[in-house]
Amino acid sequence: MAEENTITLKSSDGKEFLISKKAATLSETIKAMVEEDNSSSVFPLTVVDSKTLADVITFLNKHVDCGDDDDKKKSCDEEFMAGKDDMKDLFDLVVAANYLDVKDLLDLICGKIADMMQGKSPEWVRKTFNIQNDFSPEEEAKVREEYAWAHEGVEED
Amino acid sequence: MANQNNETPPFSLLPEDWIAIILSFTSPKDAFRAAAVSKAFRSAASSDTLWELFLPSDYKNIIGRSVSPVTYSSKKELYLMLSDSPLLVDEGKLSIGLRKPSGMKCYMLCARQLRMAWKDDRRYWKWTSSQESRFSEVAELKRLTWLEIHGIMQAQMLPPNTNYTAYLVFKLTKHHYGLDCSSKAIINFEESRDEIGEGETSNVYIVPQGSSRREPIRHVDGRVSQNRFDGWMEIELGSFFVDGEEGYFHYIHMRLLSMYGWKKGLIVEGIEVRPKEVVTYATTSST
Repeated sequence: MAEENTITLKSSDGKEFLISKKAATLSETIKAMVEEDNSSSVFPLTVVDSKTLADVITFLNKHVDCGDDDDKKKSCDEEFMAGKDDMKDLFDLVVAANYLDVKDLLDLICGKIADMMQGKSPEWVRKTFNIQNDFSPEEEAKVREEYAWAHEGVEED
Repeated sequence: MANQNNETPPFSLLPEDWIAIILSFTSPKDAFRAAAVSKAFRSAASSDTLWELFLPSDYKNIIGRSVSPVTYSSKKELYLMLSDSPLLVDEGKLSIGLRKPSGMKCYMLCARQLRMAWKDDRRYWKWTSSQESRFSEVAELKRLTWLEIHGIMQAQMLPPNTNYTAYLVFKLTKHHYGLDCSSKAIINFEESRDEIGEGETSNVYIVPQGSSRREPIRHVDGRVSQNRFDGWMEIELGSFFVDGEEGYFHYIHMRLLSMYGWKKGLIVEGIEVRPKEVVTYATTSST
C-alpha cells in the first residue's frame, strides 16, 4: 500500500534505509535518480556511509514534518545540530549534503562551521580543518599585514 | 577517503565552494582574517559573490546618491572604500559609511542640516570648513548660554528591526569653557517633524564635569564623551529601536540641550546614527 510512496536508500557499506519519497526527494540528487528510473525502489548511494546516511534521513524526515513552518524548522535544526561537534561527522555531512544536493542541510552544517570559526585565528582554522598552509612566509606576512586589524582580539587555538 | 576515525579529515578535499559558503555565514572581519589561512581561502575571501552579501543590500542606491562618482574594481574594494571613508550623499548633507568589522551602515547628518539655536547669527556661531571633517562646513560655538542642537531623521531611512544609537560628533577648541555643565540628551519618536512631546531624557557631559575648575569632581550621574577613531569626539544622545511597521513613518528627534552659564568652543560636525553593535563572540583569550 504505502510501498509506492517509499523508496530504499542503500549506503556505501551496504545498509538499507526505508524513506518516504517525499522526504527523499528533498535531495535534488535523489529526485533526479527517481525521476530517471521510476521502476526501481532501491537506490545505492556509493559515497555516503550508513552512519551519515542515517543522520541525513533524520534531517530529511524532520523537514518534511515541519512543512513550511519556519519557526518549527529552526528548532528542528537546532535539535538536529545539538552535540554535533565532531569534525569527522561534520566533514562527512558536508560531503553527503553536497553530493545529495540538499541545500538546507549544507547551509546548516556550513553555518555551524562558520560559528566555530568566529573570532578564531588562521592557525586554529588550519588545525581544526586540517588545511595545509600553502603560502610562502612572505605571502602570509603580506596577507596578514594587509588586514592586521582583523587579527586583533582573536583567540589563539 | 581512508580516514582514521579520530583524525581530522582534510577539509581541503571538499569542493572548493564550501569555503565560500562558510565565509558567507561569517562576518566581514572573519573573512578578512580567513584570507590568511591558505590560498583557497584567500581567493574565496575576496570573491565578488561574498562581498555582495556583506555590502548593504541598497549599496547601488547609495552609490547613485554620491556627490562624487564612485569607481571600484571589485566588491571587496568598494566595501573597503565605504568603511575607510564615508560617502557624501544627497548634495553633501548626509554621509553614509560602513562599520568595518560588521558592514553595518552609519549615517551622519551634517551640522548645516541640524536645528540649532541662533544657528545663523554670526555673533554666536561661526561656520567654517575643517580639513578633518567629511563635510564642507562645521559649526563653531563662539559664545552662548542656550545651547540647543537638534537633528531629525526619518525612520524609513534606516534599515528596520534594528537598535540604533545616536551621537553628537564634535571637537573642542583650545579655549573652550562652560561645556562641563550637565546637559540633557533627548530622543523622541514623533509623527511630525515639528511637534515634539516629552522624550527619553538622559544626563550627559560634553566635557567631564569639573575639568575647568580647580578641583575635579567625578561625574556619576551621566554619560561622558568618547574619542572616535577619526580624530573627532562623540557623545551618546540615546538609543532607539526602529520597527518595520508603524514606527517606520515616524521622525526621530535627537537633541542636546544645555542651558546654564556661558559656553564656548564646541565644534559641531554632525549627528551620527549607527546600529548598536552586537558582540558576536567574547574575546576572552586568557588561557
